[in-house]
Order: sequence, then structure tokens, then C-alpha cells
Amino acid sequence: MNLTACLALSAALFAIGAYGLVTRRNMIAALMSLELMVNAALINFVAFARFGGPHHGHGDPESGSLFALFAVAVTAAEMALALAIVIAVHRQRRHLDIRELDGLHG
Amino acid sequence: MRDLFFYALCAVMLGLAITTVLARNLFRAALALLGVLLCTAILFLLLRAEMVALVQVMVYIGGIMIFVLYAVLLTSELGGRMASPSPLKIGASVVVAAIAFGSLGVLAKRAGASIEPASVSAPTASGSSAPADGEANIASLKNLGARLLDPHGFLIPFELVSVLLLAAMVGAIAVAREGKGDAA
Amino acid sequence: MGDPAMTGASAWETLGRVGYGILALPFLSFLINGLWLGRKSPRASAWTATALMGLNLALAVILAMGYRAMVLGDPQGFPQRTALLWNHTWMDFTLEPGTALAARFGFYLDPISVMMVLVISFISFLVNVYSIGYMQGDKGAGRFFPLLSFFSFTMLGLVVSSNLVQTFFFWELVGAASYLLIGFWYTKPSAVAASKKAFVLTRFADAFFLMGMLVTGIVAGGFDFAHLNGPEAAAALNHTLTAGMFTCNLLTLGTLGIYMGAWGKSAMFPFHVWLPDAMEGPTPVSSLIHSATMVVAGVYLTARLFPLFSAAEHTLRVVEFTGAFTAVFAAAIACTQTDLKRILAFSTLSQLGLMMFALGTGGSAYPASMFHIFTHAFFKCLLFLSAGVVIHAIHSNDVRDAGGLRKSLPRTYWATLIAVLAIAGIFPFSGFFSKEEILHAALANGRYGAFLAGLATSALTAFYMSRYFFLVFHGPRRGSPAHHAHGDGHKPIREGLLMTLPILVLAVPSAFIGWLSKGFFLDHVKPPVPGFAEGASAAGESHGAGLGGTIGGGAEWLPIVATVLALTGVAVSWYWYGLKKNGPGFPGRAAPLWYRVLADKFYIDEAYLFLAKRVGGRLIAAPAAWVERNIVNGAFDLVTGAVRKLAFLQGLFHNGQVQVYIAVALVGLWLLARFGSVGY
Repeated sequence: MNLTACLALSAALFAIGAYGLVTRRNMIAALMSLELMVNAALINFVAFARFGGPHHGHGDPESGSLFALFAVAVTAAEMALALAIVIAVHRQRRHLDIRELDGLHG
Repeated sequence: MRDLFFYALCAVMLGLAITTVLARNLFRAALALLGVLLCTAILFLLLRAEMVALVQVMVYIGGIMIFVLYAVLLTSELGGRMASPSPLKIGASVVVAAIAFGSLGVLAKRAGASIEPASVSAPTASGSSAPADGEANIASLKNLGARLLDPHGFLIPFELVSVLLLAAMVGAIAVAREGKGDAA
Repeated sequence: MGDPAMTGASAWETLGRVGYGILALPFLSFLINGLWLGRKSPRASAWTATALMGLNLALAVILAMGYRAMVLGDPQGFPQRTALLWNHTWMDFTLEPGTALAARFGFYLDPISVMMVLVISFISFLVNVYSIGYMQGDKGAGRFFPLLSFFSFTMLGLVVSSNLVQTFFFWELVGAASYLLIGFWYTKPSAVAASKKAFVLTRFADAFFLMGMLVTGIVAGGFDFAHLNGPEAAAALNHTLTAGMFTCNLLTLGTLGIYMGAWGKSAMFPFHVWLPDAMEGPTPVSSLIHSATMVVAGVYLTARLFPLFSAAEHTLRVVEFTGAFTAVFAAAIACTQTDLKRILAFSTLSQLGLMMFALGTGGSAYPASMFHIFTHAFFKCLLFLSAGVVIHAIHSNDVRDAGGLRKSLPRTYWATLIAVLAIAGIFPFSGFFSKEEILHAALANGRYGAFLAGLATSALTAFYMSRYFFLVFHGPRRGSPAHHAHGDGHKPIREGLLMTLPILVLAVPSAFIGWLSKGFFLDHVKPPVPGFAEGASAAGESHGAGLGGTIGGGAEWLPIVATVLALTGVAVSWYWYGLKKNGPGFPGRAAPLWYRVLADKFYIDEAYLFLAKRVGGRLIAAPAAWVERNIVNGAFDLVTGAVRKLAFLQGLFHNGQVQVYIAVALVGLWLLARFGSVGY
């Protein structure tokens, strides 16, 4: 168990999440993939806090944990809004297919 | 022993993650994600970040996942099988994911290489490659709390996050509320 | 305050907090009423705003008392009678040592800023009380009070500013607040047009203000008044640039630019056209604009930078000329107007002209000018408020529909009488003293043209104000035709308590403040210039050309001449409009040509329209439009065509599929990581 292993795990999770985010057609499923990617980022934070970053000499172990905590809080806020949007979309459209939701094309 | 556990955990985690993005049944995917998050919490314990692990369990698993499951139930997609993506898209996505993994992997290797000579210069007798300065790099709960509420530390972000959460809550209610104009 | 045990330092701190409070209370009222209370209950918001303004008045009195005790009472500590209560630096652009190019936010104390704070708080409070009655039942009342508080806040911020940047900031806010209030009844097209006119004209002038401010501040090395008013700033500015056949003195250029702002804000000719139209706002707003806020700002700014201005001889002449011309010009127009509020508006213009030219004549007129701002605020506010009562009573703005209101509005009648006597300059009412000081100073400074303009103005003022008075309150009740048609012409007229109370309160200072405060102005209100403060005898040696002369002294005949002229004005108007009831322009009588020219305000508005439409439209806009259509657009079509083709290709990616966007973003991230400088 070392920094490289942790970062590799995180990279793998991130890639899997990215795959899901791009392929999933259901909005909730896409959001779950997004969660995987956020989770990968959290692992990075904690891993760097544990094994040290580039400025390892004058380290700051609390900062990594606190960053992870803040990231969790921000994700919670983001998920709350995203799921509210999911529910609103479902109420209006009766489906959650991302490919049908192409209002962005302007 | 500890390394073995770590790699086993990684294997389980990646398997569950793949299930999450591939499962045709949305409920099953959600449960797999739950598993990934739980494994992550265990990983945090291994990395001696107890506080983050606790928050991971409480907020992610206790809060967000329940929320996701509610959304699944509310939109009654529980038993529904999702349409599978087109082969073209799968191919493109695999390429994208491979690129993401490849580049991040390269970065990870470089990061590890640049750090490890300093931190893992003297492997401990147990064979674990934990950093030599051991306890120095561990955030004690006490320090964590002190830093969090220190006006020169993280107090202001901490307060801001509470505002953000409140705003998200209000926003979520406003968005999800059944408006007068809605057909439902 | 006044606690002898209190040490000097802590007394200063307390006074500083009072200063914060003076700015915070009106703003608080604006926030509370604007964001919340105004929509809930206009009634409650009216009372809240009034209570907060009352508190503000109390703070202003405390400030004035503290200033008197600590600054005026300590001539050794404060030889120039100025002090900074606090001064925060907002943005500091200082590059070279010795300069202080910084935008600050401060609270400047000197006799005129303290006087203005008192006047603004007092007038705002009374106008608030009055508005409770006046705006009763108006649908927009909840919007009115926060805006009124905001107006007071901006003006307070303006008068206490410690530097030009802060002044400019609040200057624009005053403009914005007046825009909102003049156009308060936004469903009325004329109100919208009037607010636009006021805003555009003052903005036009403010552009020059900004330029002048930048030239002055950057060359002189600082925006602070304390710095700009010192001799070294004038010396730094005083050099001449030559560019080809043009030469210009930076001192003249800078001060003239700044004066342009004051020119527009104080509605000096030819920018005066916005002020009479500003009558479209509710009457309390007019009263506030004309007495304590907005238009006074121009005169105040000129006074604030007076030492700098008096170093610039040419600028001073411009100030004097515009002031004197506007004074006579507006007074002549006022003699023929038939709209109650327009008569008062032109009278304000004329009085502002008096204050302005007084500043232009030089140093010894400075206290006189400030004295006139002070007395004018009270009686002009009273006149507007009483005009509001009259308008409420007869439901018309026209003096020809009024008449004979003495019986039905007795309290308003007596209060208006006092104000008319005050503005006409009849002894012993307040206007007499201040106007006499101005004339004295003009004479003492040897500016005979301006002096004669002042005399003519005071005679005309006495004439048109008594004309107004006789037409409104004496003679038979005429009533408007519309009223007779509707048959409600005989509805009983009442004076509401909330509306008459402020008028009666204002009658007291209108009558007495002149001789009560004359000594104060002559003793203490002096330009903050070293040398000048030491007394009139040393004034001649101070820097700048315009600071010479002595205060008062000589010309004992002047008050007699002025009074005789004023009484003549009153007598003529009594003969024409009170006794014989057939003066020029009297209802039902054909008007001679000179009268029509005056009544149409010398066709200045028409001239503007002609300039804008004919000259501007035909000669400039039409050719420009042709070039635009045929040449510029052709080139653009070529370019846009090419861009459109490219955009179509690019648009293929933008199909609205979020997942495609995400994939593209991820590939872009990879490109950055691979080829950019991201990562290790």
C-alpha cells in the first residue's frame, strides 16, 4: 500500500466513472457514475494527506482530510440539487432519458 | 497482510464500480455503488483518516445513497431495465475511459515516484510501505477540530459550506416542488 | 456627549461612531423598507423610515455639537476648522512617494459639511413626515419611502466625502436616486421623459466631471480635499500644455471639468432644462431636490474645492458668469409661469445662480454663499411643501385654478407668507440676511456686473414670489373647468395635520434662522486655506487670486436699496395681481409678446429639440446612417458569412447531448494533461 497504488486505484475508479457518465442513458445512473468520479477524487485527497505531497517536508496532514470533508459537503449539496432536478424532469417529461434532453443545443 | 488486504479491497471496489456502470437494473447499480462507497470508507480507515471515513459512511451512505434510492423509487424506475447503449457509443466511451485512466495512471506513477523516495526510504519490519515518519502524517481528531474552527484556518470555508448546504436545500425544494403550472 | 470626564480620544471615537450612524441609518431604512417592509405594509414602512430619519436628525445634532465643542472650540488644534472623523482607504494607486493617489471613504468635518448634514437630516425628516400624509393611498407608497431614504443617504455621503472619488461615487448615486424619484410615477409618460431628461443631462455634465477629476487628481497627486485645497496642489497643476495651436492650462482644464459636473447638477444655464421638468415627481421629492439634495450638490462641490477654484482665475469667471446669468434668466422666466411647481423650480434656479455667482466673485463671498444655501433650504422646502398642500386641495397644478385659498388653508397661508417674505429678502426674515451678504461680497470684491445681476434678481424674486402668493391665496376662488364639470368644486378643503405640521415647523427657521446664524457664518465659515482662517486682514496675502476682500464693511446703503427694490417688486405684483387683477398673463387677459417669450422659457427646450433633430439628425445622423448601411454593413456581411460557415461546422458538436459534451471535455482534459503544463 503506497501512494502509487492509491492513485492508480483512484485513476481506475475515475475512468470507470467517466465511462458510465458517458454511456448511461438514465439520468440517475449517470449521476451515480459521477459519484464514482468524485469518490476517486476523495481517495486522492486522503492519499496525498497520508503519504505527503510535493511539499512533504513541512506537511499538513489535517488539510487533506479537511479538503476531503469539504468536498463531501459540496458533493452533498450538488447531489441534492441534481436529484431535485431529476425529480422535476421526471414529473414534466415522464422519463429520464438523457438523450431526449437535448435542450442545450440552442 | 495489510498490503494483501489493500489489494483485495481494490479488486472488490473495482468490480463493484464496473457493476455500477454496467448493471442494467438501476437498483442493482445503486447497491453496487453503495458497496464502492463502503469500500472507500474502509480504505480511508486503512489510510488512517478516521474522520473522513466516518463522514463517508454518514453522509454518503447514510445520506446521499438513501437519497439516490429515493429518487429511483420516486421515478419508479426500480424494476425497469435500461436501454443498452449503442455499440458505437460503447466503443467511443471505452476509448475515452482508457485515455482518462492512462493519463491519470501516468500522473499517479510520476507523483508516486517523486514522493516515495522521501517518504518510504526505510520500510518497516512488518513489510508495510507506510511512510517512515508514521504518526507525523496522521491527522488526529483533535487537531482536525482545532484547524476546522480556527479563524486563521478553515473556519470561514466551514461557515461558507453551511451556507452552501442551506442554499442547496432551499434550491432543491424550489426545484422539486410541484409547481402550479406543472401537468402532474 | 458633554461629559467632562470623557477624554479627548474617546470623545473622538464616539463622534466617529455618530458619523457611521449618520450614514448607516438612512441606508438601513432603505434596506429594511426596500427589501421587506415596503411590500408588506406601506404604512409601517412610512413610519419606520420617518422614525429612522428622526434618529438620524438626533445624530446630526450630536455631531454638530461635538464638532462645535471639539473643533471650533480648539482653534489651536484645528486652525483650519477641518477634521477627518475617519478615512478608510479603499483602493490605493500610489506609485510615487509623496503623492496619495488613493480612493478613500471618509467623513470630512468642516463648517459647511456639518451644516449640510444638519440641513439634510432636518429637511429629510420633515419631508418624511409630510410624505406620510401626502403619499397616503398612493399605490407606490411602499416604494416611495425606501427611495426617499436612499436619496438622503446618497446626499449625506456626498457632503461628508473626504475626497473627489467618494464625491463622484455619491454624486452618481444622487443622480440615480433622483432619476428613480422623478420617474416615480412610471406609468405617466411625462414623468418617465422628465426622469430621463434629468439623468441624461446630468450624466452628460458628469462625464466632464470625471475627466476633470482625473486630470486634477493625477496631476496634483491625490484626490483628497485636504491635499487638493492646499497651495502645492494648485502649484503642481498650474502649468500650460501646448499642442499645436491649442494651449491649455491644466489647472483651468481640471477645475473647469469639475465645474461642468456642478454646472449640470445645479442646473445652471444651459443645463437648466431638466429642473423644471423634474416637477413630475411627487411634491415631497421636489421639495427635497430643491432644498437639501441634488441641486445644492453642485454649489456644494464648487464650495468644497473653493481654494483650488480660486487659484484658477478663468474658472472662477466662468462660475461667476453662469451663476449671474442663470440668476436673472430664471427669475425672469419665473415671473410668467402658471404652474405652481414650475414657478418654484425657476425660483430655485435663480437662487442657485445667486449662490454660484457669489462663489465666483471670490473669497469673501464664500460664507455668504454657504449662508444662502442654509437659509434657502428652509424656505424653499416650506414653499414646496405648501405648494403640495395647495395641489392636494385644488387637484390642479395651475395658479389660475387656485385663488382665495386664504380662508380654507389658514395655516398654510401664514407659513407661505413667511417663506415668501424670506425669499423676497424682506427684513427681518432669513433670506434678507443671506442675500444681503451675497450682494455685499460681490460689491466688496469689485464684481459690479454680478452685483447688478444680484440686485435685479432680488427685485424679480420679490415680484414673482408675491405674484405667486397673491394668485394662490388672494382674490376669488377660480377652480379648474374640469372641476366645475364634475361638480365636486365645492368639496371642503382640509389641511391634514401630518402635512401642515412640517410646514409650520419650517416656518420657524424661515423666519428667524437668518439673524440667528449670521454671526456663526461670518465667524466660522471660511474656506479651509491657511491664512484665510486667521482673519479678514490676512486674507489678501493668501494664495490664489480670488481670496482677497473683506467680509461685510462699507456700503451701509446696500440693505436699504435691496429692501426698496424688493418692496417695489412686491408692490408691482400687488398692483397687478392683488388689487387690479389684470396684470400681464392674468387669467382671461391677452398676453403681450415679451410675456409669451418669457412664458415659453426663451424657447430653450425647442432649441434643444431643433438642435437634436434637425442639425444632429440631418447633418450628422443621416450621412452616418448611409455609410453604415452601405459600407460598414457590406464588410460585416462578408465577415459574418464566413463565420457562419465555420460555425455550422462547429455546431455539429453542439447537438445538445450532454454526454457528448462530457466526452469532449474529458478528451480536452487529457490533451491538457498530455501537452499542457498540467501535472508534474
